[in-house]
Amino acid sequence: MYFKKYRVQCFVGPLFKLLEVVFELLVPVIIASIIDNGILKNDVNHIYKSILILVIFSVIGFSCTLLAQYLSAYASVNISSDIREAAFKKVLSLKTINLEKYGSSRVLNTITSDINQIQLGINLVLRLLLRSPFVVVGAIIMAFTFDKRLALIYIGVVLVLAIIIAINFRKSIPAYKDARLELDNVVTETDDALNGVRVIRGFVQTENEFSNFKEHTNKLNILQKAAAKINTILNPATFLIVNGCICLLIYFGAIEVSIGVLTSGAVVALYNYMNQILVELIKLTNLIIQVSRALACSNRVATLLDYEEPSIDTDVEFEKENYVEFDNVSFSYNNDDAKAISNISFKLRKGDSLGIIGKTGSGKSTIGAILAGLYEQTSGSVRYSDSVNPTVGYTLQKTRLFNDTIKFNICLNRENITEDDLKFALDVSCCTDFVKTVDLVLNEGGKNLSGGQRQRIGIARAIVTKPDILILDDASASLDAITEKKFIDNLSKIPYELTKVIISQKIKSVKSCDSIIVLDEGRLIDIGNHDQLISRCEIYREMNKLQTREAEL
Amino acid sequence: MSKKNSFANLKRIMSYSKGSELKLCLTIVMAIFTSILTLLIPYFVGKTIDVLDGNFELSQIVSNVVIIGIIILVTVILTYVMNTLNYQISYDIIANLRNSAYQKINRLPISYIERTSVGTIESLVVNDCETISDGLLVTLNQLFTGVVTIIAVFIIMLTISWKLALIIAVVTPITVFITSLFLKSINKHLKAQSKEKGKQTGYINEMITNINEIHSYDIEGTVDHKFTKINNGFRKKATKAVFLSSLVNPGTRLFNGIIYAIVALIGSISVMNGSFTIGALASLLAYATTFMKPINEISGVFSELSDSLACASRVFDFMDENETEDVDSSSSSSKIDGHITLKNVTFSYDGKRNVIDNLSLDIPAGTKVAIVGPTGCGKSTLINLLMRFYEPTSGEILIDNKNISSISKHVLREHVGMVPQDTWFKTTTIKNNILYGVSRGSVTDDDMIKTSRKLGVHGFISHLPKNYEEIITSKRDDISDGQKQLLSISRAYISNPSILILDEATSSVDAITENMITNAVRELCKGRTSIIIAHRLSTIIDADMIVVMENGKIIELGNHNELVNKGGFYSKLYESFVE
Repeated sequence: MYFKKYRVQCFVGPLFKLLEVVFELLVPVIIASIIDNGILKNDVNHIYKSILILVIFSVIGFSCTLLAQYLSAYASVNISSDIREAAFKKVLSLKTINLEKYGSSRVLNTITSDINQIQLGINLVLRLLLRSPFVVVGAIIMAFTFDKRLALIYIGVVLVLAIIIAINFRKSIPAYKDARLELDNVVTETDDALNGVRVIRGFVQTENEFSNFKEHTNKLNILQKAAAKINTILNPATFLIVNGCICLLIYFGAIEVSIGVLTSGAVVALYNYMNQILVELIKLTNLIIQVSRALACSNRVATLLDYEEPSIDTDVEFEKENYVEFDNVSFSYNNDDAKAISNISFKLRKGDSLGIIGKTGSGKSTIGAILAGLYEQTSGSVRYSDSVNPTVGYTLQKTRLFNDTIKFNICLNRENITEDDLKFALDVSCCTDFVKTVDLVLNEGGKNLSGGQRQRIGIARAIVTKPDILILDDASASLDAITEKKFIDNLSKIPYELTKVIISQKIKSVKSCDSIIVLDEGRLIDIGNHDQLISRCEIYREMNKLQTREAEL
Repeated sequence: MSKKNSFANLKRIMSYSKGSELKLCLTIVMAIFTSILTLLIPYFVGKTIDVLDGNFELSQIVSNVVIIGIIILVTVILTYVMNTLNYQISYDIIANLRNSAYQKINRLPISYIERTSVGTIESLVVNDCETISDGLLVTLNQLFTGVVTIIAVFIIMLTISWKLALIIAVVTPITVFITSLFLKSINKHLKAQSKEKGKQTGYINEMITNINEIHSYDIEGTVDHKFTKINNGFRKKATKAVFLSSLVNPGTRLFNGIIYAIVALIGSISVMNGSFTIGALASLLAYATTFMKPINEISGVFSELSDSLACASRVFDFMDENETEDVDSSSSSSKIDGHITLKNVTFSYDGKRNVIDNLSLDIPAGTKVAIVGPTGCGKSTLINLLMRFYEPTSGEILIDNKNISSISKHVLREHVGMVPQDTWFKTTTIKNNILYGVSRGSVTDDDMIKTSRKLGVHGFISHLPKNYEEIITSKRDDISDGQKQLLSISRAYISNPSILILDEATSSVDAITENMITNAVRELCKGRTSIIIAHRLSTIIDADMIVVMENGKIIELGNHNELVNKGGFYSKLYESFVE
């Protein structure tokens, strides 16, 4: 499909390659003619003419290749870049949950190294994989024009080698796959050594870890050797078969020359063709390994591109008086499995604040993610009163930061953010305490900030666009108690009508909300304000008791 | 990179071929033999074809063919053995390099590891080590066979026709010169291409990691747009690099063709003069082809070698990074009391701002200390110093009146147990993770389960499909943060340290789990000196001593009641908790 745009290049490239091969194949013919018509007939002029033709052929052949190589380089780079762009778009379009399921390291490898392999593969196919068979077939045809019976040897060579290559192929691919899997283990061990450096050193485990690592490198070493062993046979085998046939060629050629059916010039030509075949076949065997790798990679890319997200129809009708309405919304991570939330219904008015409280794993974050549009409900519907969906600011428990300035990390290149907006966001999120200049460049993952500081950047990021709805998913978790209080104060002073959704495990954080949803194991237990819940909801009362006792300890 | 430097690196790579020296010598000898033998084949074929001219006996042909056959067989066997040795050497060097690089990670200061991105070091250990060994082996082999082939072909051609041989000898350097110029420009383009590639990979990686942000803030358009721009940059550079590097072979073929024509012209005229046989012409033409190939390969060798040496210098730069210093470990596992004293300790990460500022503190053995204070007050740094992840800029830290810099890190850390703020587990079974800090077999399964029950992790572990044999990773998301914290506490508990350092996790957990963690922490602190960076009120109130820090200094010190009555920072903090 991606070839379509470049079909001209893909067609013309190999065509010119074919032309080069034709010129190359004519060389032995000319040499034979020099020997038989020039030298043996003492015709110097014929020799000059033939040599001139040889030179001209080389030059024309080179020009053809020049064009062919350019076209194939152009086509292979552009096709693979198109695929890469499509794959990247696909990844951006995937819902977070599906990306997680698919495996983010797999996605990264697919977009980078797999597509690079494809580029290599396409280029090799356009340039060489077609060239080698051209040469081989051409050489065989030329051999037939000299001597039909001797030419049968050529066909024998090709058949035997084809069988060897095929057998080899079937054995080597699984062997390489095994080695590849072990390499993943080596990567995991290295990853552990780097990410777990404090724990490993803290528990004095460096020596043990090293012996683990060594075990894996040893295993990998053995598997790699096993895979290489299979392929080592290929080159010597090709060499043996082709050269063995040269012996046969000379022997039978000699018999025919002695009968007078064949000229000695023809034997030289046949010998030259056999040599050409040898060179090409050795190239071909090396190539086939490359191309099969590219094919395996293109399978992986295809799986990513064809990855279909489960989705359902939504947005049926609106109910004017409510801003957001959840109607019987359910969600499950694996479609049929246990539901993360089931049959949740609630209504939210503009400017109100909604608290969501529950234990770990009760489905609080899932509701937030659906509101923010990160996840799509498995069944039920989410409706908004405006014809346009309201803008949502969403903060996650763990704020991920980009290796860029603080300003970029807050504004994220979004349009229409003024300096005033930025200042407003910094103030509300209590960032002003530690941000001296917004042009400070953060390390990868924001490692030069503390957890609480990262969190505050995350809050600023959500609020800088002045969204209609602000969703705070455990946003104050890593803030110290004093900053948290200040932040909640700031929130209530925001000068426009902001709808707030506060997700937390702490009653203290949601206490002041207009309404609070109590969740347990994905089900909505009750909804009401703090006082109502205290008086009628047992789970809420229990939580309150525990947390107050905790605080008073 | 200077020539001298490259040579030093080459020598250094060779030092990783320990155990393969003999194999290495063997392959070089074999490479020389195979290239000579391969060259003998056209020579004998030419001789045989000469016999074809005029009257001949079939037996002459047969004996020649038998000689050729023997040469072929020997060549094939040699090639097979040589290739086998080659990959063995190559993979052994890779394994050696990887092991050394990994060991280097263990000896580097934590600051280096946390400053450098994981991907960079990982690709050093995984990819660069492979490139070094691969490139080196291929090139060395080609270099030897190439040089041998050129010399041998030249000698053989001299014996066939010295005139032609000289002509070829004159033309060849010119082509070599042109090729080498060409290769230089290719190299430049290849470098530009890999730079673009690196940029692209970095960008994709960052965006995948931050996909949640991208979706939440609706910036797919911007991200995609920027990627297209990066990708287009790559297209341009890559097309050029791919095109140019694919010209090397046809270029050689062009030169080949011209030399071939010259040899054919002069050869055939010599044949007509009678100074030359047709067979000699046939083999000469074959040699003319084989002569050019290694010359081209050798020029290729240098570009490949420089690639592999570039990787080598990267890896060796890494291997030469300053290591953490340590005194000799005289492993004394005897119990210590755990009396900790900090005397005028000052520490700065950048040499400008003191994160810990002239701090003194005495912690009697068996005391439970809670450290509180706003973000950035120096709490975590204090732990880094106690664990000797970093060394104080000035001042000293004493344990049982002994300066910790005089105790080996190994011994120190055996006495100090740690629960880090960010839980981390090795990718292995739960059992291996719980027993991480103890030597194999020293704790029975029964004891482990008993402890797990006591600390409240047994319940959830027994619900996992494989119980204690379940493989976990730090990122596994069906195990909650609270459960991970409990596991991390169990890991420290089982190692039974004299001193405990606990950096409480900040992520909030539900009340029941919270209760379990509180109990587990209480259990863990029993009977040891404990230093806790506390975020939970219950832990703080429980402590014998509360240290309030701000800007690297201690601003308040005392127990809960004392500090609340004092009405300072702590009492404000407490109010915000109870509210």
